[in-house]
Amino acid sequence: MTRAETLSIALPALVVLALIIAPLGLDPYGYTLRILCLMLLFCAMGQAWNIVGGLANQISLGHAAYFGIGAYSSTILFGSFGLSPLIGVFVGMALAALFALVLSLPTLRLKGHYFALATLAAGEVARVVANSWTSLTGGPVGISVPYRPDAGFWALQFQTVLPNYYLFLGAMVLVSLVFWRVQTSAFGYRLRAIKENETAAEVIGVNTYRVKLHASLLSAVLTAMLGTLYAQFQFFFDPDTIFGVATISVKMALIVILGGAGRLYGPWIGAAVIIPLEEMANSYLGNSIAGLSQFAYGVLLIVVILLNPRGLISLFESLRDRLKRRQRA
Amino acid sequence: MQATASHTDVLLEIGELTAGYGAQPVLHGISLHVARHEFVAVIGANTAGKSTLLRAISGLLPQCRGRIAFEGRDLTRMKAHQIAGLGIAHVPEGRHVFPEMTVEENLRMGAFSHADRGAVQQALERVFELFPRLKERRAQYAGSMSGGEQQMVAVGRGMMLEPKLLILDEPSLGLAPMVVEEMHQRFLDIHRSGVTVLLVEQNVSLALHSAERAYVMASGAIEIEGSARELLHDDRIRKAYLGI
Repeated sequence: MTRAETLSIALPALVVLALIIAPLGLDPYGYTLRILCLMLLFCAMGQAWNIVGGLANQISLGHAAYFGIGAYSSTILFGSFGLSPLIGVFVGMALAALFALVLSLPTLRLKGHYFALATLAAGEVARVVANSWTSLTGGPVGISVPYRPDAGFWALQFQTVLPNYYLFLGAMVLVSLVFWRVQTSAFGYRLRAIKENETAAEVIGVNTYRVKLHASLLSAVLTAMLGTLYAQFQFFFDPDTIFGVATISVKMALIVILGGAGRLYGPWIGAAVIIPLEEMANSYLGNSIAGLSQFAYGVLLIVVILLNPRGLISLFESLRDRLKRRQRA
Repeated sequence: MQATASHTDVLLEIGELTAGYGAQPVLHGISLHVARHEFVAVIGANTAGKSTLLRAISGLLPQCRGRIAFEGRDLTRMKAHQIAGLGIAHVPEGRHVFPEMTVEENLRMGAFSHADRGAVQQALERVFELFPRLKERRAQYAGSMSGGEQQMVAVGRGMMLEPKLLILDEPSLGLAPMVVEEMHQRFLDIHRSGVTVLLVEQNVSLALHSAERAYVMASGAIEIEGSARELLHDDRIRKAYLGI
């Protein structure tokens, strides 16, 4: 193995190891641990979005739909029928795949902004439906995951935040492995070909529609799985947060684009920056200026795209290249 | 003037093709044919519809009426990727490479129709033989190369398909004269190796020196058809396109 290859395996392994050890010194009920949980969750969500948004540059602004479908499916099945979220999660994933399939039929033929707008609208449709279908979802007041501390792991509920933390860590590693597997496969190359030049991809025999569809389904299913984990972590949510444009959809895209779209460590970097930043903003500014974080997201997104569309990861890379050159000199 | 294709093996046959992008068709009842192992050029002014014709053949146009048959199979209802699978390699106008992939990755992308690695490797070696420069630059990002080199990548990627028909859309556009000359030598090499070539080219003199037969297009229709040698001496063409 070359030094670069050793480093490319050792570095993420070290990060994961640090993440395994990190919570041991923290208060298992504490605020810091909850922030770390959200960081891991949003990193995983970004990574799921990265499969289609990053590799193929299909900028979806409607991924909240899959996230919410996952959260509502397992929660309703658990609340109404006592079905374990461990099973409900798969129902949510299947429904999200179905939604992605129906959404993809018309939207995957759209390019650029049109695709982004269509997916944005689809996410909003999901939110409106969840708000109005009160008999199923509970409507705008939200829905609670029934508290069953006695049921143990079957109910996917825990006394402390620590097991949730490791669930999120496992999910983040899993989704990252899926992304890495896709990225390095022929399928991943086809997605990249679509991003770099869709016409060229078509004329060399890439079925661009099918490739995009498969990536969208995979991305949707993983996002739904994370929706269930989020529901089991929060115990309560409502349509406006779980299907939110700014709270979920845009945040997923922003984390990836800020970190580095189409790159394995893009969402890692993006989530490590965005989530703590957001928490700090919320605790210092509170709710004094409503909607400020949404505004901040928009500004941040524009700044990143204007100054450095390759994301923060490219700063590390140019720093690394400079060090290499200095070593050689 | 009307050449008959009855006794030759027709690879591509287009009949009464009307096609375009929206309500207004760009092509008005085009008929042409390309025999197997032939080198055919389509020449004409900038807005004659030459590129549109090629896009219609390879399935990149939304609207198409008429007949396009490749080895007897109807192409008008097929998608671009299916048409590529039949052995038609289209090198689009404007050097459509994958800029953030290396030269070798670009070429390998062209070979997804090959089942096994051995066949891909062989195709790769053949492309490197054709364009030794690409072998030297195999690890370089395609987007960082010169225009001529990018055109080599685009043509080489098409050749990775081991096509029966190679479609070249304005391959010399924006390239230095020396590079253009060299590129056309490679097209002749490709043709000699048994590949049928359909070339659209603004450089009429060059096209007529490379091709065996040519069609002249104007305003979305075929105006003149003939052997390249004949057309080179045709007064209408000498006046209109060669400036003699």
